[in-house]
Amino acid sequence: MTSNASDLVHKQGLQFFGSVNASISHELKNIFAIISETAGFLNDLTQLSKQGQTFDLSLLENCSNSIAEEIERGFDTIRQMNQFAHSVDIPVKETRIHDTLALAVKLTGFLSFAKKTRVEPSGTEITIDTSPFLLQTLVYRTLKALYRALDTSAELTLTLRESEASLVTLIFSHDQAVDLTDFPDFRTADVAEVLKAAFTKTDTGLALTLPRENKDLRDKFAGG
Amino acid sequence: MKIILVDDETKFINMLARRLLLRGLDADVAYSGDQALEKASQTRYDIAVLDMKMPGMSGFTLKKKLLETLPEIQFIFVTGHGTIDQNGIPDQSNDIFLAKPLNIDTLIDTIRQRLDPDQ
Repeated sequence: MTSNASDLVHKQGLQFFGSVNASISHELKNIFAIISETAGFLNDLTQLSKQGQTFDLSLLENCSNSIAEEIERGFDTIRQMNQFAHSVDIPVKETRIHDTLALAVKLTGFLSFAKKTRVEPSGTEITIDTSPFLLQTLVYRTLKALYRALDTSAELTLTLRESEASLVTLIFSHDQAVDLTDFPDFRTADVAEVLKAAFTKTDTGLALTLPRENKDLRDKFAGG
Repeated sequence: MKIILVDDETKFINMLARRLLLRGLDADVAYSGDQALEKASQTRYDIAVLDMKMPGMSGFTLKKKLLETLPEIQFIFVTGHGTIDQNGIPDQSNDIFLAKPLNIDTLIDTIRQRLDPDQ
């Protein structure tokens, strides 16, 4: 179904881009809200001081530290936004999967129902020849489905394995049983099909197997 | 007047509570829906200022649960979303929504108006 690859990027991609940007803007608003309240509080202290009232000077230090922390949080968010935006620069390329996983965990971390997730470091750098944007879409959608299915206290671990010479497997392990009967939904299944990716489900884990090379995808995009 | 502020952005509501206190308004804070329900079981709050999206329990779900304990409590929703769409949420039609970042004077005016619409 590689003939659908570019349609998929345009239709689903736009929706996915919008959805991620909405959650990033929500995160930035929260950051600005904290900075705004802290600046307001500093103004309140200034007014009190003008009226001759005294206050603990450590409050000023706390406020400046808080503003600095939020600015760093904002820069970090914008770095992720920039990295995500550049994932559409080259349609198909050698893609470092660990980077894709790390970014997907950060981007899904902005969702209110996100769960504590860590990416296990892989001993060697594993790359696959694929669409970095569609791979990001697929991992993001998978994490989102798992977050929705898991309880608040659940923890998720992402592990990368080179299962065969021509295959790479991403394992999403969790510490509680989940019902993923409706996963993958049709949109996720479409992306998986184009990427030639296959899901295997167990009670406490989900494995996603991807080919190291997707010649159909490369030919499709190379041919325009 | 007793206020409860509920948001998982802890720095945001702690600062907001401090600023309200400087203006003579007593506000408790809760960092989750469960914590808010626990506090509401011990204190009679007049108004709750709720973040719409929180981990574990949304502001709308929390509203329904708080009403079981405090049927007279009023609500103001706070959101970081760009637009506020009430479509599909018919029972929210009388609620007030404020966008982040908040203006403290607007929040206080809204709280007072909510508790005393005739003022």
